[in-house]
Amino acid sequence: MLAALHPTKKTLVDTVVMLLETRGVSEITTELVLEKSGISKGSLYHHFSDFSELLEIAQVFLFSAYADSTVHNINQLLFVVKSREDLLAGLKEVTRATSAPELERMRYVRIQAIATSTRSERTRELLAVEQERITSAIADLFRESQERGWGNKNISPRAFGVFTQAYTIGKVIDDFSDQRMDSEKWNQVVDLIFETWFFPAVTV
Amino acid sequence: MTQNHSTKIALIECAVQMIRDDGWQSVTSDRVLEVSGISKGSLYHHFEDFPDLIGVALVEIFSQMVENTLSQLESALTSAESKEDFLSKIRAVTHGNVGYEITASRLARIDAMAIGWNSPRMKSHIGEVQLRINRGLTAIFQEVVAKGWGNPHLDPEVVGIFVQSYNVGSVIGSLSTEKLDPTEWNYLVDGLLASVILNG
Repeated sequence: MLAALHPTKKTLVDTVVMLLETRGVSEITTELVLEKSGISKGSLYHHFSDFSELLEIAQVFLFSAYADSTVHNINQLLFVVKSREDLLAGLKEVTRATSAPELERMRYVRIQAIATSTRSERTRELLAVEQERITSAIADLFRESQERGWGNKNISPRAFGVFTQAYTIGKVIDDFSDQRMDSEKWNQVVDLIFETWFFPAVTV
Repeated sequence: MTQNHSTKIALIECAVQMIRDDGWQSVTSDRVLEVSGISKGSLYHHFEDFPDLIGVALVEIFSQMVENTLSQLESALTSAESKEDFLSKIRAVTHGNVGYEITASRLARIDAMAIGWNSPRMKSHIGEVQLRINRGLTAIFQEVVAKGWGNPHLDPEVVGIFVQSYNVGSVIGSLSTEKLDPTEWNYLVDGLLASVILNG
């Protein structure tokens, strides 16, 4: 998504993305972005209709960057696996990598982008395109696994794509808890769902 | 909320209604005071500032929604005569919620978290409600396992958090350019409940 942007525009978005790694959206000011990027105020307002547009685009970009890396990992996985067991073992690693407690920042960025998109038409449109790209990529992977005889043929690939993202993002609710659950117990629930429902031993 | 002062409740209820109607960003302190007929002094006696009221109201909206689901689950559990009966009652509850639709309550929960990230005050409001919901769901699942209907190998607390998580995150299903068919979503969730979570 970012590749198509004008270099100055890209620098500004990159700067906000970098700031979002350590700060909340409300803490990012125009002054801070100009100082960190070394770009003039005039340039900023030439490329963006207002400062919020820059913030919104940066959020959508972060949203899709996190998801892209997951899609990439699953793609790699399908490329190397030779059996259902290989696939399940690989997915266990993906689950542990994507649901780690340290990834709370990623979960936050995604819910923040969702919250923004419900209020801003332009963010909603941008996000819808990115969301579609991610969901259809995961759906394609599931379809491929169905064709290889591993994925449950009765499950809609699109529903699989939405569902796997849903619990990964929704795990954010536990980040608000004083008493966090044991992440490994969560992973085991996910493992079991993959083994018995999504990729059952005998395809239903 | 029963032990709270009635003026405080009136303010929260007024803000809840306005958020449901127009979204929290368009709710102003002037409008809340005008509609509720409560004085500015009272508002600032009960809340540190106006965003505090909005935060409490957002948490109240999603808390009501989850409490409602909890009581539906409880009554499904007490009235069910068999595991099959329980499963069909659970399906009625989950299909009624139309997984992945952006309802006012799901949005309130997401908004509350989006705001709460940088606000320790808000984070603790959410944390309290979250703990209450987790405990409620844990107790229900323990009861389900006791009846021999739930998977005894799963951690009851984690099951509760997992079920909430996919519900919260499911809103992405309606954010794409291409929509997901509700029957496809329901089939996935029903099968998951029957084959993994409620397979005691």
